[in-house]
Amino acid sequence: MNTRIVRTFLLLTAVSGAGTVFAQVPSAPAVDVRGELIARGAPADLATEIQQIVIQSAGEGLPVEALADKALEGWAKGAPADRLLVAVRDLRHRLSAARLAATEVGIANPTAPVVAAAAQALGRGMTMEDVRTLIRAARRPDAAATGLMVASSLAAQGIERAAATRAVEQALKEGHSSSEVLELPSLAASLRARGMTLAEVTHRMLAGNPLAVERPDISRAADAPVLLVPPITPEQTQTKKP
Amino acid sequence: MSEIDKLDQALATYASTIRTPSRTLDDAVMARVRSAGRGRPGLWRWLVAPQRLSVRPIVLALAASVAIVLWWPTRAGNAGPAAPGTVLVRFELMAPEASSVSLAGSFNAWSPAAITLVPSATPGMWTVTLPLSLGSHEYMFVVDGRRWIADPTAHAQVDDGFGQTNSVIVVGPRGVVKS
Repeated sequence: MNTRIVRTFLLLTAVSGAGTVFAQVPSAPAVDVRGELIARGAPADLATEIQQIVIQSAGEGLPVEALADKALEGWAKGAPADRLLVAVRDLRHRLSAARLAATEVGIANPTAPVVAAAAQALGRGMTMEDVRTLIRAARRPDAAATGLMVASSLAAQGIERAAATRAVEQALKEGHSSSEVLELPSLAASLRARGMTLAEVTHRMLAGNPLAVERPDISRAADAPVLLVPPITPEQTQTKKP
Repeated sequence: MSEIDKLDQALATYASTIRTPSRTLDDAVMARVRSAGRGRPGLWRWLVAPQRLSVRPIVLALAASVAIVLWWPTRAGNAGPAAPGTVLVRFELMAPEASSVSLAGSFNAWSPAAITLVPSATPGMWTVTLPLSLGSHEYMFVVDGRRWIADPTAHAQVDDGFGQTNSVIVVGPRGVVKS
């Protein structure tokens, strides 16, 4: 009986350890941003003021995790209090505008990821019309959030804003999954690394189906070289820059 | 026959009728005697009393292997296996003059000391591999605990709203191709 108890205990320990590991996910910013800021050494009055912004935003149906994250970022970087407050308030305004854009295309209660991604897109230079276009093109809320995130990242990579929007809109309308759309920034990076100009990359994104390009298996990217190069197709050899 | 002789004869006759008890019988009787005064052992009594354990070594070896795989703390520079929905991403920074390099970003609530890079085989190169969820992540390296610098190999650089630029990577299901 003692042996059985020891064996059971060891088995339960191993199982609980496995459960602990698989339950761990990258941590999300704390909603109690006041407590977190104070724990990191921020003055109580600043932390309270930010918490009030977060509470008001929550009351308006805005995703507050992004606000908390921005506040923690600013404090970690040593931003002055007034600048930190300006950044948090600016983000709140973008979140509000993003939510408005989503409701204008018929989504009565846009999800937090969609609003956050739209706000991020607006902060990276996308327009309200770009946001509306991408939300309309998506067939599901998660696809809309992914589309917004990818389009704004492509724009940040240097692809012209309207072209980035069209490329992602095209991919969404063609029914590509969110997982496939997420690969577009890496595709653009690999094309640039092979010597293509931004114009050529943009043309590649818009001419046909960029996600049809065959790429090496980068599932082991963590162990692979940082630079990965897709196979060269005949038409690409005619567009290499001098 | 004297009384003593009669007694001896009676004892010899009696002794011949008694079988020597087996050893297992001895052990069983003594176990009963020992437990007789203790009553039914409860969980607490079992926990605090010394116990004799008998476990197959292979069971211990398997449990130890599982514990090592699952409980070994994440060492700086090397992440454990990626959980479902995450992808391993390697971060590198060439900083030959640095004495420490860490990574802060949207994936760790911008904690500037939680994720440390370790020197790689390439002189001056610092590296760490992390499991990240699919999607967009903003981050910066923190050199020597005070200098925040961008990752030149990231997909893009964006204004952080504090006068600096955050590096951006978009993690797809097959990983990340950087610049």
